[in-house]
Amino acid sequence: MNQVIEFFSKLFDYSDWPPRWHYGKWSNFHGWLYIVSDLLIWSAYFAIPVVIVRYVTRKSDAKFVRLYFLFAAFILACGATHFLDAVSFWFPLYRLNALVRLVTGIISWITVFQIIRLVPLAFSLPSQKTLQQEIERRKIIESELRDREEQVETIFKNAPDAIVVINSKGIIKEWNPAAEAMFGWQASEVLGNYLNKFIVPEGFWDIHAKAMNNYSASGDGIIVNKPIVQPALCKSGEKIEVEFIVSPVKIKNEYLLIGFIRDVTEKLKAVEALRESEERYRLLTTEVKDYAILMLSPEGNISSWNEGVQRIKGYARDEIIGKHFSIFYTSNDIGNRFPMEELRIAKIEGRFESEGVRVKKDGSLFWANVVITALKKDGKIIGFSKILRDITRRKKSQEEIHLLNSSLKQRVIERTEELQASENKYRSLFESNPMPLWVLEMPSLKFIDVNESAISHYGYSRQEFLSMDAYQIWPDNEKERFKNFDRLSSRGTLKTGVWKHLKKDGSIIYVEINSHEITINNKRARLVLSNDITDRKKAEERLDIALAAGQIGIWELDIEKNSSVRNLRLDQVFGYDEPQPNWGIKEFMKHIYPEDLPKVRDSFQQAMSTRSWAIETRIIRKDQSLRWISVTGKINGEMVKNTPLKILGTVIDITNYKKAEQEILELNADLEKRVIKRTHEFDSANKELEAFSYSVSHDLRAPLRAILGYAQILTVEYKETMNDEAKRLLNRVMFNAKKMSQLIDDLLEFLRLSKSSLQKSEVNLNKIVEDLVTDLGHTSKYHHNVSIGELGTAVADDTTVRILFQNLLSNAIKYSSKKEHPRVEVGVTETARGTTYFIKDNGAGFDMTYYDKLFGIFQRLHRQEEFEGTGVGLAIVQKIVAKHGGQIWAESEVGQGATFFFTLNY
Amino acid sequence: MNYNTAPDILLIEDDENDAELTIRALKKGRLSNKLVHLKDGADAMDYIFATGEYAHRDIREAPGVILLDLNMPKISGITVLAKIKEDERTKHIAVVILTSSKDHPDMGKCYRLGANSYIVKPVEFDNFTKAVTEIGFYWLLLNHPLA
Repeated sequence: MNQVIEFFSKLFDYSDWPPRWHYGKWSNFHGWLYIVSDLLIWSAYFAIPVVIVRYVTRKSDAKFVRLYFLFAAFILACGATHFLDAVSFWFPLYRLNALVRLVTGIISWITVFQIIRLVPLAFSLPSQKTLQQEIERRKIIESELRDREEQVETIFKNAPDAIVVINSKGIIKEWNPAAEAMFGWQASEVLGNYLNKFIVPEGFWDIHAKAMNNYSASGDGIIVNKPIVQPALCKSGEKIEVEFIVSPVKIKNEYLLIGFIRDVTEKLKAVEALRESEERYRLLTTEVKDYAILMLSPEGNISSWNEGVQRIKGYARDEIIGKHFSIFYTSNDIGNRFPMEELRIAKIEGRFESEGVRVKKDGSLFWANVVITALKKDGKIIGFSKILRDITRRKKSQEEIHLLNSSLKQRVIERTEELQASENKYRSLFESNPMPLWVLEMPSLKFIDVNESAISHYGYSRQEFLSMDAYQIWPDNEKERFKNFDRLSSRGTLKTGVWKHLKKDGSIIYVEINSHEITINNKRARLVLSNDITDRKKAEERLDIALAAGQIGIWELDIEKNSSVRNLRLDQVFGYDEPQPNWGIKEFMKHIYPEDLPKVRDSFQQAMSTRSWAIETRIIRKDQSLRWISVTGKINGEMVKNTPLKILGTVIDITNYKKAEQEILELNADLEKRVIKRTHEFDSANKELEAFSYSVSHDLRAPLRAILGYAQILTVEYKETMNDEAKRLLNRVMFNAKKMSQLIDDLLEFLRLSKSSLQKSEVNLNKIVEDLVTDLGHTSKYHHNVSIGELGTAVADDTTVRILFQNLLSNAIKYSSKKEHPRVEVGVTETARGTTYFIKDNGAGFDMTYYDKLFGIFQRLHRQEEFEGTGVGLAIVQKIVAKHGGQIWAESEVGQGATFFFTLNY
Repeated sequence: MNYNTAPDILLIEDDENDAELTIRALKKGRLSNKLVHLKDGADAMDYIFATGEYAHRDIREAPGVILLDLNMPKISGITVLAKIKEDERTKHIAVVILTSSKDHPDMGKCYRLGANSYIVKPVEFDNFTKAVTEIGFYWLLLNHPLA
């Protein structure tokens, strides 16, 4: 152990051995050879790991990295032993040398194990040569591939057919230059987009989509690998006919469709043209009967013909062969040498064509188109062919067209006239319009036309107008507004507004303007209509003045917006001198005297359903003063969900009325007190009167009884001793006493009625009157000729109504009693005052002059000698009627009887 | 009962004319044999209840019928009636009210107090005589069957 410790402690100690130079027998050469060789080995062994490490650290995909590092460490360690060997010639570090050798040995063995483990793997890697061969092979394949790709590319690029590759979703994957050329779409534009967007016409989208779905589901389809002709769209919008073949390919699990497309428009056209040409030829050959074809000799004699000649001209073959062709011409044409002239032209020009009238065999004329062609052989005329077509029908239709044309011309003329008339109509509409109208040139606003009404209304002459512009009819204070307005709406077509206009006499009128942008001869102009609303405006102003005079605030409230339109007075009512910017129901409620607020809210809520609002409330004005106002409102217009949109109403300051009302109330209260006081007074007076009346009845009667009593005793007991004059005088005394007694009775009755209350019930008036008439028959000294109508029943007081009828009946009987044929009629009639009862007699009547005294108490219209009475009866009657709430009146003529009418109210 | 001292008719009437005419009417109807005429209510009370001036009277010697005028000075007819009708000793006496009107405000009260009948004093003497005689006679007969 001590040796080990000594070993490590003296690891760098070389004092135990002499330097190698001195150990053994070293020649200089030998020694230096040894040293240099060792140093060479060491430097090489040092360089190798550096190179390896550099290589490994740079090459990211290097394999066996650990082995490289082990190898590097192994070489480095070997190098270190050689270095220490060389150094030992001067510094014999044998201990360090031994340690380094140990390390070298260990690393060497680790490397050995590592190599053993990795060698099989290393041998499995292809050899460089194999790799090289593989690379070569691949290069060849790649080159071939590239060639093929290039070929394909070249084919793809240079193919005359458009090649389009789409995937199963219809998205374009490839688009070759031919496709670009054919459809006009560049590859960059279409790649990655749906094919339908570009070249498939809309009508084919459905078919296309179906075919695609079918194909992607089954991998096959009716369109696959078959030539199909279909229209396609170009970028330019042009539609072309294409023929295409679709081939499916599967690349990386995706089905692609390669379409080879050829523009066959021209081909189809050519086919069509060919078809048409064939058709024409067929027609020519089969329908040749429509033409008469003749062969003429150079002189014009007919040498050959076809069926058409007979069909058109009616000649049989034998009839015309050898004849001169002029037989087809009218004598007139022949006279003008037309046939030969035609041949001459044909001879010179090779061809002659004309249309003209020809003659058939039967002599009838027809329109023919004739083509004469010179037939030449070696420059010499050998004859003519003549082809003739009956064009009578065409000619006819031409004539018809001609006729149509002339009628069209006529119609154009008529239309022009109509237009002129219409223009005149509009002109006169303009001219004679009762409203002022004018036309302004735009944008100068110069008058270019003006109607009579404008001239008479504004006072300017036409010449004056036409030298003015519109600004001149605006008063100075409106000009600015007009300029601004006009600038704002210079492009508008229809403008309305209320303006002030200036007449020539300097007066201002209010007008409502409607103007319209029009174009006259391609120039902008404005037609202006002016409606004078001065009267209306004045009326409005008068209303404003009236409202102001009445100090009435008016308002229209928009409930939804909580805003209002109102006059200044409304704001003034609430103490504001300037209109408030915001005024709605909220602001209104804010001014209500707090105590009144619930009441006002309730009434407003109620107004929503009753549609009308009226309330008096106290408000607190801006200056905190308390005022009374009266608010009215009416719901204006539509209701939405039971809520009105707008309410219109008034507000009036009624503080003064309220004060007056208060005074009146106080006055009334005072009056009431006074009335109560008076009533008390009246009641006591009444009682006094009552007491008075009975004392009267008692105390006045007592002396009367005495007078009558003693007088009677006289008349009975002193009958014998009195002379006739004494008896007469005594009778007068008794009569007057009785009279006075009657007066007292009547007066008492009247007083009794005055204070009694009515006991109303349904009473049978007929029964009452009949009873009375019966009673009167028993008691009255007069007649009882009374006819009674159907009176029916009435709600009345039985007792007093009885007295009423009794008085009127006895009056009627009494006053008619002196007639030879006295008659009284009781009946009922309808008058303006309602159900009216009447008692009519044919008696003495009365003078209507004294009508006002008729119902007065103690008033009489007849002397006592004529008709006795107290003058209380009609006063009683009137009292009873009045107590029933009815009316009584009478009509009479002296000597002709009287009619009393009365109503009973119930 | 002393037949001689008890009057048949007690007339209480302050008005001299009415009294004379009534008495005359009663005489005509031969009902004036035992008639006492008193001129006011106080006197009448003393007489009926045997007090004052009439203390010597026997209260049981009641008149056959009392003809009572309502309107009298001092003590009115109504008071006299009330007194008569509330006293056990006198309430059996027939009282006929003499009134100038059937509408007299005290008439209802009279009936409630127990008045037996009334006579409206008519202005015409003939009718008055007739009424007084008939009623007086009736009540006399009813209360004092002539023995």
